Amino acid sequence: MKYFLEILGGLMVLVCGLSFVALRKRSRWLAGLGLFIGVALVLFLSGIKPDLTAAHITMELKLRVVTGLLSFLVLVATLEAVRRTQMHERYALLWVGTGLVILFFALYPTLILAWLQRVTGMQYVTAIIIVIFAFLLLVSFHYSIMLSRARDDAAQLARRLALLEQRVRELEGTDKSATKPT
Amino acid sequence: MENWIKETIVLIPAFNEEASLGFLLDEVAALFPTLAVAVINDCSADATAAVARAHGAVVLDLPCNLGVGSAMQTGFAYACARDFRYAVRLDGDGQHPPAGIPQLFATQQKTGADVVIGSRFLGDGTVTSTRWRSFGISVLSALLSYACRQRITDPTSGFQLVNEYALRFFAATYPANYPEPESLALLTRQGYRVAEAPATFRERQGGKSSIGKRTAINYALTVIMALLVDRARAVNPRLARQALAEQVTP
Repeated sequence: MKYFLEILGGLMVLVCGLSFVALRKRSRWLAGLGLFIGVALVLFLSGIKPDLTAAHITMELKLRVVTGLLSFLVLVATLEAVRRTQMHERYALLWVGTGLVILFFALYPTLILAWLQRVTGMQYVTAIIIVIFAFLLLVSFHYSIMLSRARDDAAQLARRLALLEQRVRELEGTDKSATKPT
Repeated sequence: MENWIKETIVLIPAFNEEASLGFLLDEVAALFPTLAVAVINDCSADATAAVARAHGAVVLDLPCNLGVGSAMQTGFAYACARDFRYAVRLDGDGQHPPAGIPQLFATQQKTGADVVIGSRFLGDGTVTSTRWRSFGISVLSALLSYACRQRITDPTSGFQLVNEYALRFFAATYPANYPEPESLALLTRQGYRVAEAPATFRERQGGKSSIGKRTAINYALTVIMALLVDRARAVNPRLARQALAEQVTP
């Protein structure tokens, strides 16, 4: 079972893809069922494994399974939001990227995290939490800026609208109090 | 001296001011019958717009609540579009007496300032205020006086006279939240001149203050941060006093 985790990851990707197809073609109940079966399967598989390994490895394995599921959820939710035109592709790209990065962490945690561990001296769990936290912080910062910009645009539109409405009232002659300096 | 009336528009930002607005508009009309008045209705839930129209004011209706800064910016843009030379801001709650408007113009004529602020603390009227509020105002006053390189006694006063140059600047850029102190700092930074005139404020005629106890701290922090950050911003040369003076022919 040398490639157990890789198989597990592949399985999750498979379930992800399948349920997305189901979301597109069939009902979302069917997709939900597929999702549930996939999750149960993954949990079942990870539940068998621990007996063969040391305690801290078990912990790590469970964490990797959870991380993998998280990436899968992020990917499905993003694609579904784009499909329903609730999210612009511009922002979806960010989240698809996020999902893929998390998936990468789940499948090959040693590649990046070993390096991170070496540099910062943090434990695996701490490192992953720090990475996620920093990322979310940046995302919400980005949204603060986007929100401010959207608010400015809305205010600009509202001001234009107020002036135009008054102009229309004056041109229609419905506003007797219209003012004009001489 | 009296010819300012023809070239001036009174701008009244109003949010749920139906209780006091009618009285204020009648008062303005009684004192200056030919003076133009525009009420900027910041998406009030009550009959503010109807009351204002019934009392003969132009009403600019905002489709969503934007706050007093954005409401005033609407009014400034309207004044510019209609080629008014001066705009006077009065608050919808009636705390700024219209009888004080000539005093603003007298100071404007005397100093040639682009914006004249009606200051409570220069007048002979006694100002009733809570201890915390007057402390906050004195801190703001000190900070703003430093930013403007001149003494500003009443940084939060909304009783203002704005001339044609400052009007164009404000129509382009005006702070959205708590605009009074920040707008003065922006003005002086762009080369405009500010002066203060004595004014006597009244008790509000109705409605509630937009600044309650809880938002007072928010107000102070927002304004102080805005004043500090504005100093790090580049001056916009196209909206500088000199550039607008060349552009606008009086």
